[in-house]
Amino acid sequence: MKWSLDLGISVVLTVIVWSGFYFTFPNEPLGAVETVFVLVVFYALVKLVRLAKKHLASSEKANLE
Amino acid sequence: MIGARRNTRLWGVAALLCLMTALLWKPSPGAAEPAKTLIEIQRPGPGETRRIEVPANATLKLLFDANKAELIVETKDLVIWFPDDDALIVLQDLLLRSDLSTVDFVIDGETLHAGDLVDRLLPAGATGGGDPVNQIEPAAGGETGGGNSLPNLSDLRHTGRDLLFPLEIERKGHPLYSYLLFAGASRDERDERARFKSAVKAYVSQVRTTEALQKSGAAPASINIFYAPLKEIFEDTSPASMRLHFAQRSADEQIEILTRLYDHARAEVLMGQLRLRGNGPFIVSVLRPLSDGAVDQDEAFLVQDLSSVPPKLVGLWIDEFKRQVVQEATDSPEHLRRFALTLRTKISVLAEGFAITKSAVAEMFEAPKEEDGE
Repeated sequence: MKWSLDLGISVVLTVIVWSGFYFTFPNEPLGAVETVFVLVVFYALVKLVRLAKKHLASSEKANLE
Repeated sequence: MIGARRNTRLWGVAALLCLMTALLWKPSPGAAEPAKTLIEIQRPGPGETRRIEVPANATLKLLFDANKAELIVETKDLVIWFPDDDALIVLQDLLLRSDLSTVDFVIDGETLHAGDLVDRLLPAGATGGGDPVNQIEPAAGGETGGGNSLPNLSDLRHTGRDLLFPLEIERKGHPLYSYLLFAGASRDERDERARFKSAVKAYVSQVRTTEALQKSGAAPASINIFYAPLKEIFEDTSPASMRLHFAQRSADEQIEILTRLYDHARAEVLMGQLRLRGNGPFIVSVLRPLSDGAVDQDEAFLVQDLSSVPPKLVGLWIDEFKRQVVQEATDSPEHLRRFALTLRTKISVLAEGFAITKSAVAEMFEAPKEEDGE
């Protein structure tokens, strides 16, 4: 269920960014497409971080062996 | 031989004396001086600009209350400005004249030499064509005349819009002159047109008129005047009446008129003064009217290029421009806000590309379904 955790983290980050923009520019909040775009970007970033961590862990394990 | 040498020396002395006499000789003031030409200057009508070419040996008699006027030294003109009704008297090329000392002013019965007056108005060391704007406190009416000041941006508090009709020059006395410039959309460039329309919409709806600000007590020295060049709404009508006609229209009508009759040619000329490339829209700010001539490299100016901003965000950038002008004046940094706006614009631009890709992918999957249905 890691994908749901990643998605959850991405959604939380998107909500934070959306609110930040909303309070800074209340006349032009992020639209639906823009919000989805931000969500996709965050999801990709979270996935990348997870992959990087996995890669680091496996290389450390290989070093130890 | 000795006589010949003495003769040569005598001729030399005589020639030297003649030369010195020619250099030192000045026509005595009095009988030899040509008669002065009296020019009586009336106050122009509201919003009217009267241009006067002053001949040599002229006496300019001001037939109005000098307390209600301000003297402004422009690049080469001396301008008498009436802040009440924005009327102007432009004494053309007066500051470029070598015979300025032969011109006199009669203000409230007192005679002043034009040369003395200009010396008092210009800052020390300033040359006739150098400084952008030298705003002058009223020198008339017996007040201390030496009140010259460079543009004081710390007083800048508001941005007020106004129109710039063909052949019309900008109002004097403002510390900052801004322009909404758009040279016209390229062929079939729908986005450029939409962007310009959004800019015009924001210009009309988000910026108050200079007239409204002044009526509410804002001094011209506190207003950044924000011009949009406009073609003539009617022929054979003065700019003042066209401005009045425009002001009486609703906001939607004003947007429609501005979009339809925007003076792209004048905008291009003004963009040329700053050597701007591309169609725009641009928002530019300079310390002196752009119509006065090209901006030098050492002159300060501000350019906001809206040509890559999504149309729906143009309004935010106009807001940012208004803030930035006051921020420049008060030195209060708002870098974080500006960064947020830049990020917001980038997200919008990228999301637009994302949406196009998304719809293209969706079409790829939908097309076979339609075929199946058939």
